[in-house]
Amino acid sequence: MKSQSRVTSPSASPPDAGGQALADGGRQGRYGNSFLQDQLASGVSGGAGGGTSAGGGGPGGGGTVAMDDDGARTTAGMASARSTGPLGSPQRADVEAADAFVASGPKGPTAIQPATGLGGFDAAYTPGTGAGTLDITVRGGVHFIDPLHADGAGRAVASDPKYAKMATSVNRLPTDQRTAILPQFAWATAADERQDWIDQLKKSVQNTWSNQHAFHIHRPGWTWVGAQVAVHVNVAARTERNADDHVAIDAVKTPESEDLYSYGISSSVSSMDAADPHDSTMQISSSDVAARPADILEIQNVYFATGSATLDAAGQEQVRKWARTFAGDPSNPASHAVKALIQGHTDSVGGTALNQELSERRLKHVVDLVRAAGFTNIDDRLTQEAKGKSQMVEHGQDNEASKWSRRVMLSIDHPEGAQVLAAHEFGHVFGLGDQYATSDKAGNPTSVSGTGAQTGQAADHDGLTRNMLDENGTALSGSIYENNDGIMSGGNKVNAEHYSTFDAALRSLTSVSEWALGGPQARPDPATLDTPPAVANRAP
Amino acid sequence: MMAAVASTPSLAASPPVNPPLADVLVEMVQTAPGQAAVGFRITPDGAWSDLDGIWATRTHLDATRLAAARQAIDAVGTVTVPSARVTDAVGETTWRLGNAVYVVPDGVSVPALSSLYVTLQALPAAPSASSTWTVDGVAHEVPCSASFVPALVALTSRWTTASPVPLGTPLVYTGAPLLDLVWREDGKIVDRNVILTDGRVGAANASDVLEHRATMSGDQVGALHGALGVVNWQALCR
Repeated sequence: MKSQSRVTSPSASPPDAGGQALADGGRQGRYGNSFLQDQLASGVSGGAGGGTSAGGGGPGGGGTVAMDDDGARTTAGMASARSTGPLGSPQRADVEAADAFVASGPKGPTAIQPATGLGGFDAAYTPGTGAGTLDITVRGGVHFIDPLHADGAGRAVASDPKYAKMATSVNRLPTDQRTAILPQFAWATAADERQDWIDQLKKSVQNTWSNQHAFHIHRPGWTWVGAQVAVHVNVAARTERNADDHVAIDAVKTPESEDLYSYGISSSVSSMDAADPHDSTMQISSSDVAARPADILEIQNVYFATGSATLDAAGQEQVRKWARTFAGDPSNPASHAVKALIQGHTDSVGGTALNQELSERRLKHVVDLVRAAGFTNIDDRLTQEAKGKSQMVEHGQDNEASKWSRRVMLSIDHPEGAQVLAAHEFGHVFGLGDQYATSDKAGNPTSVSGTGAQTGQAADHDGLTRNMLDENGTALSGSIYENNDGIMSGGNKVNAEHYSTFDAALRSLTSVSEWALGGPQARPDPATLDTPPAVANRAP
Repeated sequence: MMAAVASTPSLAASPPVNPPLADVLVEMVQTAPGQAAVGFRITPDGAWSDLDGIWATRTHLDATRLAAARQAIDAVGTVTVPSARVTDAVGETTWRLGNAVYVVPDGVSVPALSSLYVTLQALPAAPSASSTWTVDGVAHEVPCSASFVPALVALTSRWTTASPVPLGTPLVYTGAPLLDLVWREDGKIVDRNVILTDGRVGAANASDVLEHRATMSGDQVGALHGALGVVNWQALCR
């Protein structure tokens, strides 16, 4: 069903000459891509930003701009048509039009409701020669919640039904452990702990999301106009929601080494109205501003009996589940399928040559299981090493201890480290959907649960991603569900697709539809360029 | 966010037994894939049952408390569960209030139900908690829950964070332990801890023999000994 979400401009400003110039320029047919021009001329948008370009009534023009949120999901078939392709040679008028755009000054701030219907934020663009800035701002209040307290007998009582599972789990503990842990579900009464947490939240989210990718305008003579992305988290402690808050954050106190998932409770973001950028609610735990205690991409080991190169049934199932979880969809151009290191090891019993051969057989056994479970492109994705007894786990010489050395290690490559859940949840505030996969391409369950979907299915922001252009002007391939190191999946990496709502906001703010990834280039000297052609409707 | 199934509690879930609606004043059941269902229920006779994989009767509300429960339930009226799009949620809570059933996804707040929950959870009378701390052979009675005594919470933290050992080994010792601690509810022993001078930490519930659960380092034992020596046992529960 098509529905209209809206971009609202808190401060109506006069029509923006630069933006209008872009819309007109887009109709001149200089890009060798009639589809894009037709789109612009007809007002049919491939995405939020494109729509505003054509209408010329974007935020710069004041009032509101309708964004077709269904359009973002129906662009799959026009991915290649969205591409602008190689640029022609710039002309003097192009550079002068870009100059006018830059001189026209800042755009926004504007409240953005992403076309996915999730989240909401403010966006503002400040143009500059090569160093323009797209400021993304999220405002919100933080409500510090003590989820548990003790009853008269020292048993845990939840402060809200949302934390009932937590109370039940704590009450299973022996009295001494329950006594010791219960105070860790309460924020310190001194304000320092709370302010420290807010500072850490800001730092984690801003560092994760800012300056991961740059934009430039992919038009002849305009490629020197850029946008660096700066994310600002403006949150403060308060229990009441301000009218212009984008999100209300419930910060639930948990012990440092645990999070809500430790108790079967979700960290989550909920949005009530798909057209309201100011109605999100976030629930996260106090530990979510640091790397997760349980990293979904963490190293897994499977263990072997002495001298054996065949796993028992439980070990084989562990490997199959690992393979199903991380097989991904590498044949899909939108894939970011993981790469991994697999190492075979032995204990110290026997000679070096014998153990080397044993570790190779263990490695082959596991790789065969991985392949049989549907993990493809093995040669490209798996680095295989047989280490013999060169890297034993030091636990003494008895057989029980040595078993930790008789292993094959499976290690997902994720240099950004374990996910910071707060950064993931802010991805939802930025309008992105989840991308973790709860089943593989064949529908078999992975080791992941939540609001994910089957590997390879289109994610909520797939359409917006397909509207994005790479540095060569070619449309991106979309966004899919897949377990990988991406921030909306299991890791911390902000890929280009994760800037899709920022990209749409940039187009909407500036009424420019040719924003593309990649930093800006040097501004050409107009004096060295050809004079403009005699076209009557060229922008002023 | 995604949850590793392996990282969540994995008690074998028993399907909740649902009595006829007429037999329930209020019931709350939380479910999530792969997890034991939890919740509580009050029936018209005042029986309060808790669900932790299986239902078990915790207590019976007296007439006054049952009347308070009925009043709180009646005050809820008709509930509207907000229609929200929730990311990363894995479970839901089902409320039964008389003939009405409300399903609340994880991450969604329904203030009327939250308020009811808090009111009802405060109704059952908590058992009387006490403990006996025998230090170097001298017994100290603590006639209140240690949870409300910061000095005792700090003490328990000293051994509950010690390095755990695989369970199953009985704790065998001779001579007086550094600390012999008995936990009681309504006068009945529910748990026991023994801390030995060599750092071994023993634990048992009411019916079990002591098991070696963890081992403290020499420094930790020394610090615990020192902390026990400065406790003002007479002033703890005032």
